Amino acid sequence: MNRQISSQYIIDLYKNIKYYGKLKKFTIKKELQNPLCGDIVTLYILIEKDKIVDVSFESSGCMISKVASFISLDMIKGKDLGVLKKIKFEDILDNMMIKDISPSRKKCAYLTFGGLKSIGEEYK
Amino acid sequence: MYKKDFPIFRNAKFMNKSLVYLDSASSTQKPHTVINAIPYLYENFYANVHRGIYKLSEESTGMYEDVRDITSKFINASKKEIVFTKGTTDSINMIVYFFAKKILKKNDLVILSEMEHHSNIVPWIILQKEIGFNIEYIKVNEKGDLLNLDLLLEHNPKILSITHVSNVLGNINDVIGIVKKAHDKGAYVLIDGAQAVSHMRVDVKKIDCDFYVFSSHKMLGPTGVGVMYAKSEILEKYDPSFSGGEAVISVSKDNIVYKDIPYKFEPGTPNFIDVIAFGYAISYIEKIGILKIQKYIEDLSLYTYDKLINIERLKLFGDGRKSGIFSFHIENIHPHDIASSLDEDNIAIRAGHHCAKILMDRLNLSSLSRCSLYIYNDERDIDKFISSLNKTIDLFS
Ligand SMILES: Cc1ncc(COP(=O)(O)O)c(C=O)c1O
Repeated sequence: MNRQISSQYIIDLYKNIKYYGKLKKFTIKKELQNPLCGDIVTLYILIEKDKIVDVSFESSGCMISKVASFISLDMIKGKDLGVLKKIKFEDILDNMMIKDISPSRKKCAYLTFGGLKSIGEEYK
Repeated sequence: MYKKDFPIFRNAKFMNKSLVYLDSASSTQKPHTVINAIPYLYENFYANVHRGIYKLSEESTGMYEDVRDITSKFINASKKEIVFTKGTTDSINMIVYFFAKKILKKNDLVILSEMEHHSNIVPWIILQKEIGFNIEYIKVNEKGDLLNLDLLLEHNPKILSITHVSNVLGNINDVIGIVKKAHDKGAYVLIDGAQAVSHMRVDVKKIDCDFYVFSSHKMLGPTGVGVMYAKSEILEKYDPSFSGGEAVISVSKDNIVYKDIPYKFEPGTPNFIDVIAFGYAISYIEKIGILKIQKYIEDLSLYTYDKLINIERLKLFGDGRKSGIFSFHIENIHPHDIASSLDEDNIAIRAGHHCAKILMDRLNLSSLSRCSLYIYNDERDIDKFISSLNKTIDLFS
């Protein structure tokens, strides 16, 4: 069982976060709020010819939330828009190595994923 | 010293680490007397209250009414001024609807403070939408001082509703002074005592408030029970906002005669088993002595405070030196990460907005970490907490 949120792995990811900040040029800006804690994440996505060319985010969230934003965006960058339909939440948890994280912290990780899914719906 | 009375500390071990529970402001743990009371009552005394004329029902009614007596003495009210509810939130909503709704008109003023828990804000905003009165908030600074009470009182509010002790800042408001000033301006005053009753001697006669509300689960009692104290004149004058069986003497198609107070405010079958168990909680507190509890928490709070202020990157909000409620922020570490990291050492603290978004906005924060103490905590708990906190800071830097 790995409930350790402070595992070295996740902390290393946290200290080496990518895609943080606002894109100069973007086609989609989506603001997401975690109703439990009030944290806000803003996603920026640049789409060209149905391809996700660039991604970034800003966040007042916790480590789990920020790393999840980074990992989720990393999984879609450079792919076709269709990837938004295909990404699975378990894969994100897997890539963060936090599959057994507590339910309350799962919500922190879910925020960006949920946002990407709804972007996928909107961009049918 | 008191820890041994609370079974959770023998049971809730995690990876061999015993539980350090520092979230009592959210809800306290329960002593075995309270826990055991519940199956004992169901197994030996169960029958509905205020109904039967057989022994069992008379016994349960007697025990239920004894708790009303114990509760009234606990806060120096009279027995008929104690209405049992589901909790603080329920009590405030009741007051808003049976009382405030009847006296407030468009353009009247209600004063709240920025440090209120959502339960003392949201019901007022809902009623405001209906009636159109104004709500002004007493401003609060980072230290937890109330800044413009006198100024707001100049506008002759109809009602002032404020917390006795802030669940985030830990400050203890001078409710005696506040009530006096508000009464001088003709306002009714509701005091939210959710965080106060378990920590200090509350005397509603001395405070002279019109309403005082609190929850059983924050004072060692079971969940699902609360108290609405209201001055008897008020309870007598107003009809309840919801009713049904047991609260009425007679019902015809065009007339209702209510029972005397407090019964007209307790329609339906009450949560009497938990109320009776709540009586055990008050008895437990009284057996130790509320003044002794107060002193114990003040001493442990000072011990905690001295350690917290020595942590370099930690900033404290408010003043918890008397209430044992400490909210803090650590530079560059999100409160959730602090709470999760402490959780790995089986240390329970709260992280989040603490149902006080207006206060968080005032402090310009989206969340805070909070540790809150009660009598089962000791210096060893605090040492473990501080050492885990330091470990967390190292981990993240
Ligand atoms: C100051 C204050 N008021 C009201 C409440 C609400 O109490 P309950 O959830 O028991 O209704 C709380 C609980 O956190 C509180 O701290």
